[in-house]
Amino acid sequence: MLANIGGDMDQPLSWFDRIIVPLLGGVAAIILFAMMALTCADVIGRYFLGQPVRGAFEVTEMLLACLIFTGLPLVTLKQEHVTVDVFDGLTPDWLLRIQHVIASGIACVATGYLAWRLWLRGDTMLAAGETTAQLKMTVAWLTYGMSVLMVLTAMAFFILMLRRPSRQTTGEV
Amino acid sequence: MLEALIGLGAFLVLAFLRVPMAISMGVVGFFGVWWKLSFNAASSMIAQLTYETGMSYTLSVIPLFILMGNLVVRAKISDELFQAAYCYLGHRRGGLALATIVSSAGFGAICGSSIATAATFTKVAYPSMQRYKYKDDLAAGTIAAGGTLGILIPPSVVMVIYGIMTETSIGKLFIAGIIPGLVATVLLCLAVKWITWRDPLAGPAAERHTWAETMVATRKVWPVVMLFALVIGGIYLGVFTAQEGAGIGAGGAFLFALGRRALTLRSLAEVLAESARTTSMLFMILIGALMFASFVNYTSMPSDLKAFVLQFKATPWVVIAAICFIYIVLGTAMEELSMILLTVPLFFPVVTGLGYDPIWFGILVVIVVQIGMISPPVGMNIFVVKNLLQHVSIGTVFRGTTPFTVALIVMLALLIVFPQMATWLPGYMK
Repeated sequence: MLANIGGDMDQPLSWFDRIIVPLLGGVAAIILFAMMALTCADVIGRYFLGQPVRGAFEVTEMLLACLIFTGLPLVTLKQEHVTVDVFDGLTPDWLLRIQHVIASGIACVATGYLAWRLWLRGDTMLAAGETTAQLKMTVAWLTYGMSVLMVLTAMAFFILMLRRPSRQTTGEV
Repeated sequence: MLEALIGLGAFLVLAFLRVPMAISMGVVGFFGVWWKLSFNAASSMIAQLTYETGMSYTLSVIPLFILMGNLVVRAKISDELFQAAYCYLGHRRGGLALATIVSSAGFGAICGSSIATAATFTKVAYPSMQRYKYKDDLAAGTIAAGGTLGILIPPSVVMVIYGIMTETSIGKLFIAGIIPGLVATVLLCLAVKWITWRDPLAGPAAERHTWAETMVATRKVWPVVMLFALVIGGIYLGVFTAQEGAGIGAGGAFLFALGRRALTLRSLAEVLAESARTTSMLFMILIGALMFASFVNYTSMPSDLKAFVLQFKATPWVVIAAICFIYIVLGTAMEELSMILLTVPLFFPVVTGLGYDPIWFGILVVIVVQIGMISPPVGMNIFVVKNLLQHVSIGTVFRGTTPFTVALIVMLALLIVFPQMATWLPGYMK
């Protein structure tokens, strides 16, 4: 919400902010717009043209998956994950930095492991030749995509680990 | 029971280390399932959960409602809403505060986020209240409390999340929120009345508007009415599902913002990217919470809890009162989204097992979340208002929200005594 680390050039690995962040942001924006347009077209088509969009259901599902995983590295880098920061005001700087390194490290390992498991799942799906019911699209590629974006999320956590923690509040409902 | 408590302890340790909530829940869930079953089971479960949550059609409702809310914020319709309410109420004592509550309620009818509503009205309503020398605690408290109507009046992100977790109809939850939303609006207004009755200087009367001015201001509110009628009406009448309603609502808000020339390509891209990030953040928490919940389901905690609660079969309200108490206490210290994601999987079977309506319980959860959002020390809405009003101290905002917290607790009690408030309207849905 109050991210202030956007594209600071003096940060370690700032190429990630300069190249990956705008790229993913643009892609996420297009995906979300497409989801909105597709749902509207589907409903309008069904009621006014007597013809819903074929496969709209499946495409929406896939767009959703793409949207979520594309957004994750961004959320991570902008430190928008919900975090308990009640005590930030009381925590001295040196302690906050230690906390920050441990926390980002744990998150980096966790997301990295998840990326690997998703890749394995993609392998299984490819071997089994799994496709969607209506449009017969191979879902394995989507799973590989999720895995790659998860790797980027893990990288974002790693980059965060190298940077100074920021004190800010987050929350979304 | 013990395993689940150890898990909960581990979660708290990680969370207080500042590991993101989502990761804390996911990691503990992972190790928990590993402990109860095996490493391989835990590994394939987390991948499975991640994949399936990402690919779930039902969940497409989340990004689309978030987008609708963000577009509505960008379209700045809040100005018109506040102006109209100002015309009707401004000349009374505490009138601008009343207008803030009422226009927040109106805004809540097209925006499903409490934080977005509070942030919007800090910008819209605070300058007017400042001009008429409203005390800061009343002004800030009103805005923070009014913002919480964003999640009680449909559409609502919290209801969507509750609906997804408990497999309760999102459409019915939305409709169930209408009457409690109106009652809560009245109660918050009564709180304003009470504050200005005790201290008339807290909210002096502003100028009176002529009938003609009032009519002009009222007419400008039509897009809000249209959008609400389209989305909620469509869902109520079964014209479309909640998922489709979200898409239509986002599309409507998009056209509306476009028509008002409130969007450039750049700002549209910003709104879209911002909504996408919020979505990713919510899904991450959802996946973490689902993993944690699967672990808890392998422990004896759910059955122990159920057995314990069965003792109160004769007086189920004791259980409900206890749950509300737990929520109010947790809500003071916890971030609300994580609170419901952690607790609803535990409480939901207990409550429905006692014969309570799942939709009614959903509304109850929304109200406790509202209370949590304006109660110290961790109240999201308070932080939002405080961040936008740098010169107001956090203590002032807390003091300001206290009467409204009481009003919402009264609301909670009313909902428990009169469950019909939530169950009556959805009863007419197909």
